[in-house]
Amino acid sequence: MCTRLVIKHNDVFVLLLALVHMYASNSIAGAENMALYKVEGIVLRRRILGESDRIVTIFGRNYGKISAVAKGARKPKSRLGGRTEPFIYANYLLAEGRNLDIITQAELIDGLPAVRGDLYLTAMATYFIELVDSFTEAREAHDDIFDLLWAVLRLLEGGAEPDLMARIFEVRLMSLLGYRPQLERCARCSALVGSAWRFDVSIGGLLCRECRPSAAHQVTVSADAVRLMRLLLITDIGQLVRAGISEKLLIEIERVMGAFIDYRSESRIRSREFLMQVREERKNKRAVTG
Amino acid sequence: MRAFAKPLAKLIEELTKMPGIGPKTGQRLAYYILQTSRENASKLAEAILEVKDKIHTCSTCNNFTDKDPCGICSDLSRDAATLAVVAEPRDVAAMERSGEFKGIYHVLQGLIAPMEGIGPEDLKIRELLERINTGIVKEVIIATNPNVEGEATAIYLSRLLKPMGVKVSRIASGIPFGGDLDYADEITINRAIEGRKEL
Ligand SMILES: [Zn+2]
Ligand SMILES: [Zn+2]
Repeated sequence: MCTRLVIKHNDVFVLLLALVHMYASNSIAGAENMALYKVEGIVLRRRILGESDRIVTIFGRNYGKISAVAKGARKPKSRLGGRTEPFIYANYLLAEGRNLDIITQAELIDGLPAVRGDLYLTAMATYFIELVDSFTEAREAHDDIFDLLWAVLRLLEGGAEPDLMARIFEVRLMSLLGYRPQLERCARCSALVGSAWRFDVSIGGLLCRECRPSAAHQVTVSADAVRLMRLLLITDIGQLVRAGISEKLLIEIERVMGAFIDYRSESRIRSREFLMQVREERKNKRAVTG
Repeated sequence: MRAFAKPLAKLIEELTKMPGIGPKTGQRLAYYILQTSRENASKLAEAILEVKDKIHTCSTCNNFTDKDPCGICSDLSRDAATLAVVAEPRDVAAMERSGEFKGIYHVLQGLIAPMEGIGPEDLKIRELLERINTGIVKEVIIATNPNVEGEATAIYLSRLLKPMGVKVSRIASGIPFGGDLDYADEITINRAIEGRKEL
């Protein structure tokens, strides 16, 4: 309703804009004013709405998951189209709507062009955002998860080993969600665990010899892999990137964490299948080209 | 108490199953059908059934057609050495509207969408490779949307197709014609610069 009044008088427009801002920053949602708020976020997914709109799910700092409408985002001349694609990192200006809020503006922070140009990295980034999407609730702020997600995405963009990023992301994400893998003592009886390790995904930790027979969801894991998992949880990510970590151990941890995530997730993590497929092809290609 | 008589409620229910049609639009359409002549209503019903009975996908290109092979695949004046890969039949329609493209098509019937669980095996990719294997096609133009799914599909296809000895290209993306540079987002501008042309 503002725009209709102001088309001819620039001064009035500026005044009204200031008013809108004042209202927004004071969170006073008048009957006629839509409250505006700013969200710094990463796009998790979007789906088509009607002819040319999109519903975009943004994972926002201070906000958690927000679904909002990007009007006209599917039209070629839209300002919003490119800024509402999965794993775009941007500042969004949202207006409170009757049902869903509306994205009124978006200012790009990082579009991760290198990730977008590589199939395996795209698959990996998709896996990360799918995990965040399936494990977090709408409007539940998770700034620790936000920082973790952005850290691994930025490192992917910078050329860090994608599978190492994935394992770091998995163990840390589960910890931040309250499922920190128990890797020191038996997760059931607290006895010190010696050798021949088993990870029980229903309990979320290692089991001792005594407790083992009664558990149903076990994955075997080597002592080296357990040691590496502990490091992935606590060591500075930059240091891990430089360390040169064995591919074999990462594959072992992938099996453990995959089973753990599947056990905890209510829905199937769909992007993992494609990720595996692309990796197979990538490996075969490497083998051929030497 | 029921808001609508049973037959009317049933019609509204069927209409609102369609994409983009909410309860309000469903009601409006149902009232329109109710008030139109019996002849008009029966034409609509016939058209719906005719589409269901007569339209199927072309066994060569997977586009919708009422004969097999479709009008484009069987048109000898078209350049069979140039093949455009698109996601959906409506993309064929869009390209045909431009009148610029004289080659043939291959409809994938979707795009790779990892989060929706749609992988390469769910698309008509094997059929595409079989067509390329016949040796007639010399250039493949990948005309998928410039978004995450379209890009992923394009990269995936180019890796499969290049070793087969065909030229593989991707449609350019950038500033829309009649658009404003000032209005475009950063990613679009970057891609427009990447795909620039010498004058
Ligand atoms: Zn025990
Ligand atoms: Zn055809």
